[in-house]
Amino acid sequence: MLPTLQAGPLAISTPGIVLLFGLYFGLLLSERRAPSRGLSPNRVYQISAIILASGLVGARLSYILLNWPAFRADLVSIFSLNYKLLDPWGGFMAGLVILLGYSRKTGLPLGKIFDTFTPTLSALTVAAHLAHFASGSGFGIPANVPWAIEFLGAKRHPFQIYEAVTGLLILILVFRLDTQQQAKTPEGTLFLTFVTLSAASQLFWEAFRADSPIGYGGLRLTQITAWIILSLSLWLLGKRLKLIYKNQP
Amino acid sequence: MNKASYTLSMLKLLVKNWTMFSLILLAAGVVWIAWTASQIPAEQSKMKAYPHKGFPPPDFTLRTQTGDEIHLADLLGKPILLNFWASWCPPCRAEMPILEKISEEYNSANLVVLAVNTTYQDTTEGATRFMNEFSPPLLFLWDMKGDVSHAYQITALPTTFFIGSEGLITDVVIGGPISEALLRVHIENLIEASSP
Repeated sequence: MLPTLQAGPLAISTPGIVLLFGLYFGLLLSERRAPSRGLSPNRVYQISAIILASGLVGARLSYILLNWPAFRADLVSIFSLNYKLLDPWGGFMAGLVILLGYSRKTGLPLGKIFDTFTPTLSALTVAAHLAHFASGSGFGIPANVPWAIEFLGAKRHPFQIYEAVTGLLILILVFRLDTQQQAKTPEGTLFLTFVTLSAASQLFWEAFRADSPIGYGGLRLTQITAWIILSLSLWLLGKRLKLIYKNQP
Repeated sequence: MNKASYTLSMLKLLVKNWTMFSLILLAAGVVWIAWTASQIPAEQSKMKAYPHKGFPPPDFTLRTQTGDEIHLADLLGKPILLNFWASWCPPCRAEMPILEKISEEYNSANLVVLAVNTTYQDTTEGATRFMNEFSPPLLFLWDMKGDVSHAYQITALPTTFFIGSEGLITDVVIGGPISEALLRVHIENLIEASSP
């Protein structure tokens, strides 16, 4: 794996670079598709800035609240640039709440916003898997296949690569669906398609991960979460798809 | 029937039978989750040592400033903070006062703080001058040949390993200076895990 890239005296975080590139590429895709939804590229960047800012602030505030004694002893750490001082769930909830508020205030439907940023999310998902590969986290179970990768004393399934390749296929499919079907689908359909496919992918590939969090009875907690998300997204997606084909012969 | 018409008719069929399709997919998911849970191998009592989260740390023997030998194996069972640094590295120098403060504050909780100087890429004079600014219980070690740094796959400085009382690495932080709050969060977690 390659956690850092040496550039002279500087050691650059490879996962960070990969994620930044994924975000940049994803935003480019969303910007390209935005006019077909009646949104200007500037609006896309405005919304993404709002989501990023609120997500980061929310993630930091949540982490501080969860670990207040540590920050009370060193208040300067509140403003630390260390990315490990972020709570992902806090960031996600903060971003979602702000997005809901933005949607209500501007009258822009939430489904339209989600659909607009589906290419960004999809590209970020691929980047996240590649970032895991670079950092060595989320490594695979031992394997005896020709494409196994030597890591931590064993030949292993390149679990992160499986997920990244599947993520890339999902990205291509989602982008094609959007360009071909966008005018005919209710808002939120593209986003739910992405969520359904991603949840199914996670549920399947997680079985090949060695450091998956394990719960009662050996059940992989990530698989259970993916199954729950898959159930919800299938239900919501089904309602939308039925609307598309309801009046067709 | 052309390809587009065929695709459309297949999609209509899928949508018409969406509930059935969803139930079959979810049932298959349950079977897959259950089967993969049954395939998880029994916990390996003797995992190989690797400088990676969830693995035992590579063992080593290094000397302190005063020439005493420190064996990591003798310290396992206590919460350990293992930091790699060099005197020419500005973030390393910036975070050392924090490591000293933490080592004093958590000494009663049996926290061991080991600051390994990567002497093979540093100077003993520079490192010694820097070490003399600090006091125990912060423990400085010399990695003269770089064998330990190599075993721990040090690619950037500083790098900090957190080792729990169960003898496994709980986290690795590459780069610095490490935030005091982050240090405290990790150490509190290590100490909490080591409590009976």
